[in-house]
Amino acid sequence: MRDLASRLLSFVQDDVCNGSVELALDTDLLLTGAVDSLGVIRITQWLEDETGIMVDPGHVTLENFQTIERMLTYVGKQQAEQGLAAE
Amino acid sequence: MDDAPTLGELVPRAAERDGDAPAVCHGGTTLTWADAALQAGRLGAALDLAGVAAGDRVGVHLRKSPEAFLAMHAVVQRGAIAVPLDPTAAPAYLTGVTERTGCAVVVTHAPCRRSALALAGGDHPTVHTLVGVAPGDDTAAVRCIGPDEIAGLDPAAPRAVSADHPAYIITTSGSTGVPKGITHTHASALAYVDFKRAAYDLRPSDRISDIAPNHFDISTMALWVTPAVGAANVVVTEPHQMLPASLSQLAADERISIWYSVPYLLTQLLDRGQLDDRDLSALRWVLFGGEMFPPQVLAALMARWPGARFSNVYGPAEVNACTVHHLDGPPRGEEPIAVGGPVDTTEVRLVDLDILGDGDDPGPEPEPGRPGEIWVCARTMMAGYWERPDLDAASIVAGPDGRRWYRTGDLGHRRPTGELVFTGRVDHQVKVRGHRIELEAIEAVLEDAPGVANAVAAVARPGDGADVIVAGVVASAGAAEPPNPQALRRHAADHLPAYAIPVAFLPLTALPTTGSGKLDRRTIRAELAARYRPEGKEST
Repeated sequence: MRDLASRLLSFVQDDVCNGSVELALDTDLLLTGAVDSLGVIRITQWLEDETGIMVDPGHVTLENFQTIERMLTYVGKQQAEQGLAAE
Repeated sequence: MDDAPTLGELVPRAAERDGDAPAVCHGGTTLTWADAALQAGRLGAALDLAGVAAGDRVGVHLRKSPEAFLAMHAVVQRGAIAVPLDPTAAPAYLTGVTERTGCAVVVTHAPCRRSALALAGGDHPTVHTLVGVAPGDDTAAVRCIGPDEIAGLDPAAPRAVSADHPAYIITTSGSTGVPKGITHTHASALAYVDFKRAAYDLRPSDRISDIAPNHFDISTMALWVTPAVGAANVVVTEPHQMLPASLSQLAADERISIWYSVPYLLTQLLDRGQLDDRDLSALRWVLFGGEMFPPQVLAALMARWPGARFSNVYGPAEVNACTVHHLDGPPRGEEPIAVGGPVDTTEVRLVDLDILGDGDDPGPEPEPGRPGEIWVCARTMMAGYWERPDLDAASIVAGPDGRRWYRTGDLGHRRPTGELVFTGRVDHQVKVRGHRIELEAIEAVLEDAPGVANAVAAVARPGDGADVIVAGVVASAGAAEPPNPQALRRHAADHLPAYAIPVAFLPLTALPTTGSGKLDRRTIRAELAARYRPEGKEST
């Protein structure tokens, strides 16, 4: 299985953005308009399904969700806090 | 308080009254009114340098930002006509707008550089100058006046124009898919300022949210009202609007006192805004409009913020948000919220549907409970549609008293108490997150796509929040395979505003027809809405 970073990147690029943009790990998804509010909801659901973490609504902030890189950092922290094994 | 004769005088006068007061707040930094006057004046000088004359149309292609506020003021200060553009829309759609309105100059900034450059490309570019981005290797085809050059200019004093001169054009998709330009004058915008200032008792101490996209008419309240009152304009960026927990944090940090948005954002705040952890005690008035607010959600929000007043704002962009209903208490049951009665600047009347089309005399209002079309006569009304006298003739009528009335196309009825309630549309216009969308426009655009014989657009309500647009398409006879959704999406993006692009394209085969042999769009729309499931949700 591919690593989380590349799976998340393809999910956001191909499914959430319908392949309409080229994304990098540090692309600002929100300011560029690549992802809208429904997209954010889909990404949080995907992260919960794929990594087993529970995303607290209070954590869905610019700090944690502006880029794919920040999402990965957030997931890593939550996996540690919630006692889940990282891949 | 002195009244400015034109929009261009608003910022300079605010700077004269109290130059040190906060004007535009964004990301923890604040421009004062003196700063804003200086920067808008310099931007105005850059527009002069670009050759902008009074009456010229100037595109405003910016994200929610202090630059967007300054650009709109700079354009009207030159006596030019601002055309706010949606920076998220496809280049082909935007060049349609800039060509139709004849924009030769566009004000933009670095985050929009690539999409702004695309405006100057294409087959017949009308845009020859970009103001706000520096020249570079990618700007051979267009003149650029960059931020450094602008900062070195002497500020230009506002150019005098008459109050009935056009000031800005809000574009919306027409029913054929061709955008139409709602043209407001200095006078109609200043009447709107008067109405807002009085309706909410706005004061210099207020901090007013600037949330709606610049091309959406709701954005004009903070834009014009804040300098008129001397209040602060608090910029709420697009990323904040997508993340309710960050949005509520910004409202708390900036101590926003006047909130104005579509109900969708307030619903998001209530659901996911972590309101238990936010101090929003500065909030004294919540204005919402653009679509209907589910009464139960509104009641829950009012219970959350007992210190704030709540008002339902009504009015299509053609007449500005021209009337308001202040809520005395939370709505009861599922009764829709009233839209408000006449105010100083506005008269509203209901016109019997049976007599519509029988000349311009609207006759007596229908009895309470009976539906009618809502007509508005207001000082806040547009001059007309940009270079579309046919649309003017269809929607603007002279009343028996000779005054101009706007036929909104909205349906409503009066309660026995006299309150007016909005109930729907006479046509197929729908609202999705406050944006006006003509389903027929989407259908017309899709039917022009290769391989498509018929298309039907519908609103679906996936259940987990916001309404979305879905489309059903019938392949042309002889097409080898059904139309490809990716190709359809690109075609839609080139011809429709971003908010009108369907989220799904479902193949249609069996097509019910009406008695007269036309497609039974009503039945197909209901079927599409029922069939749509958001991607990734099938298993749940």
